[in-house]
Amino acid sequence: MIYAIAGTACLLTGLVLACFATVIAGWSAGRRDAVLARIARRAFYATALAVVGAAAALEAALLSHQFAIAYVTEHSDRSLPTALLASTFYSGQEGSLLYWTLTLTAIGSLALAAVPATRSGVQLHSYATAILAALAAFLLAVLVFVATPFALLEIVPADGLGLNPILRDGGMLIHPPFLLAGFASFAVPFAFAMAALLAGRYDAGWIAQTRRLALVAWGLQTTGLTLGMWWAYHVLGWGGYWGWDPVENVALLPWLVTTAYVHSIQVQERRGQLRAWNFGLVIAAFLLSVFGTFLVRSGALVSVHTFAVSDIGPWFFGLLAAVVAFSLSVLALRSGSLRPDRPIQSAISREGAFVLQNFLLAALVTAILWGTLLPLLSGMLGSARVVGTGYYERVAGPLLLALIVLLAAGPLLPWRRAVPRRLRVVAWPVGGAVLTLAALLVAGVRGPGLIAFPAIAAAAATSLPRLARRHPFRNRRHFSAYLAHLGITLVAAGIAGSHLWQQHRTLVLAPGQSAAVASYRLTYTGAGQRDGSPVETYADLTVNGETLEPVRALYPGGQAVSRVVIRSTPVEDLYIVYDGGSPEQATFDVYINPLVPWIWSGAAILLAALMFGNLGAAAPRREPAGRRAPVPVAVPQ
Amino acid sequence: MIWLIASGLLLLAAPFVLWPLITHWEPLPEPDADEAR
Repeated sequence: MIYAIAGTACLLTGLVLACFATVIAGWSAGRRDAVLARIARRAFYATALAVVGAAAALEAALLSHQFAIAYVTEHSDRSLPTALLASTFYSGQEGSLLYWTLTLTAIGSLALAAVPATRSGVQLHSYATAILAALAAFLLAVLVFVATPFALLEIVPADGLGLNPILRDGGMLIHPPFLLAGFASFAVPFAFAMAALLAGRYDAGWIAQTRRLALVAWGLQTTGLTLGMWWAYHVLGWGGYWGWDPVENVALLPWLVTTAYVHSIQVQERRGQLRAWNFGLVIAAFLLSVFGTFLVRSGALVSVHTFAVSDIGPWFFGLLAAVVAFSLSVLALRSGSLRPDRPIQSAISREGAFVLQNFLLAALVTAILWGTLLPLLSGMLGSARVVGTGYYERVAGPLLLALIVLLAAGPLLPWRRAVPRRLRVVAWPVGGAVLTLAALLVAGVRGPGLIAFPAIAAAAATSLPRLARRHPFRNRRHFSAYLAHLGITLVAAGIAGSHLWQQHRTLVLAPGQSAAVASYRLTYTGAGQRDGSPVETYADLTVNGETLEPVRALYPGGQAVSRVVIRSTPVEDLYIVYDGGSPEQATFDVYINPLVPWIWSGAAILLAALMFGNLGAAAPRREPAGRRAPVPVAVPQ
Repeated sequence: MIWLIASGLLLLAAPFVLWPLITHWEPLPEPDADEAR
């Protein structure tokens, strides 16, 4: 009871402080008053502290089994180990919304504290504070009035309902926190971009700040997406890691848009072009993250994540409409001052490659959005139509291939225009592609692999020599960019390999019986059962001399979860799912997934590159203090 | 009860939030060249 009261009081305090911060920041932006700006910023920090208080109250309630609170009863029980019990914080709607608010206010506070007000100007800072505080106020209002995590039950049960069996896994401790934080953090670059538009500031300092904030969101989302893929691969037991599920799609969309942004911002940095487009991308990334939340939480679309459905959908739809109207009005207002300094001189140039990359990513985003929305849109017009994975593969495959080719060609092109003698550098990627093609033909490979892998090899052949030529510390930004390219090339190879060359066989075996799948010989030796909660049936298999034990766990509610066995080598995974059966006959789904380990290592390289290139990197240089012009100080009378 | 605690928390936050009003004579950050224009 005390936890619910304390938590609700913290949320209310946060709501009042966020509203106060919004009003004061708006006022200070109008008056360019530094004292008011500081007060607004402090009110935002205090909002973050109040949200931390509410989060601590919910976490304490979960850990101490306060079943009087409905959220605790619905999402936890006494049997959960402490780590999983702590993670039930974000396993339901209200908790994940509170976590979202916590991340938004925490990252927002860090951004406001890290971006020096002297540099960016009082007005820009105040607008950013006002936008962040308004978003926090919206989320806190939903938490207080619509979806409170502290609702009380009239009758207190002795135990809770427990956690959804699919979520009872180590992945629960890492995937949702990163993905939700990624979603929430797109609001920060959005707030600073809108603030820059409102204040009429598009200079290099702004670019450096917003780029860093966008990279934080991008890094969190990259981690969240990778962990989600890894979790799906290990837990869902269908042999794959990406199912084009609506929730996966909406998590991918802001990531793709931000990927486009971190590239196209270089054109603005170097050539003063694409200003309006860059603002549009930052806004679009945030809109897509809000839109994704609306789709997932409203229950408008059916997905593997439907456990998170609730009635806050219309609220997020309202937020989406408000953000669209606000962003478009501000963009329209400032469109005159966002014209490029000069037009792009030649399509065959670095900036031309960035524009093409952005065009391809935008096409990919549109195609995925269309596929995700089709059931909803066609449902409104009559019968709901759903697109399968085939649609996404047909559309995304060629676009991803074109992006890989660009990954090979783009970094070789000079700024402004390419002159023929500079184009000799294509020898590396062309050589890599030809050698790979020859090797594949000799190995007897046929089909789309003959296009995909030479393109991937060309991309690697572009990145590797450039990586080798750059000093990691003297040229951190370039070095980390090529390292990131190498990481994404590995991911692409993993995706292509597992997609094009996956082998799958369903085996029905009696004890003692053997079967061969690729180079593996599997012998079924018998099955057994371990009673408890859940009831686990297991099958013993000998694979090339090693005994493996895939498990099928049956939870009290009747939900069955497979615990797959994965044996990894550097070039492939052996992936075995036990589908059940009797001691006399067992069914297994056996997959050979080539190059899947490359996806995880490529993503790890990508993240390492991101951190190496940006953590602790020098902030934009301040003017020396002596050269600053004295400005009269407005002292209230 | 909830409002009572919330009011107490707001009172606690007030000195922190309003501190710049008390110390308004601190040197203020100046707008940079772009903004001054």
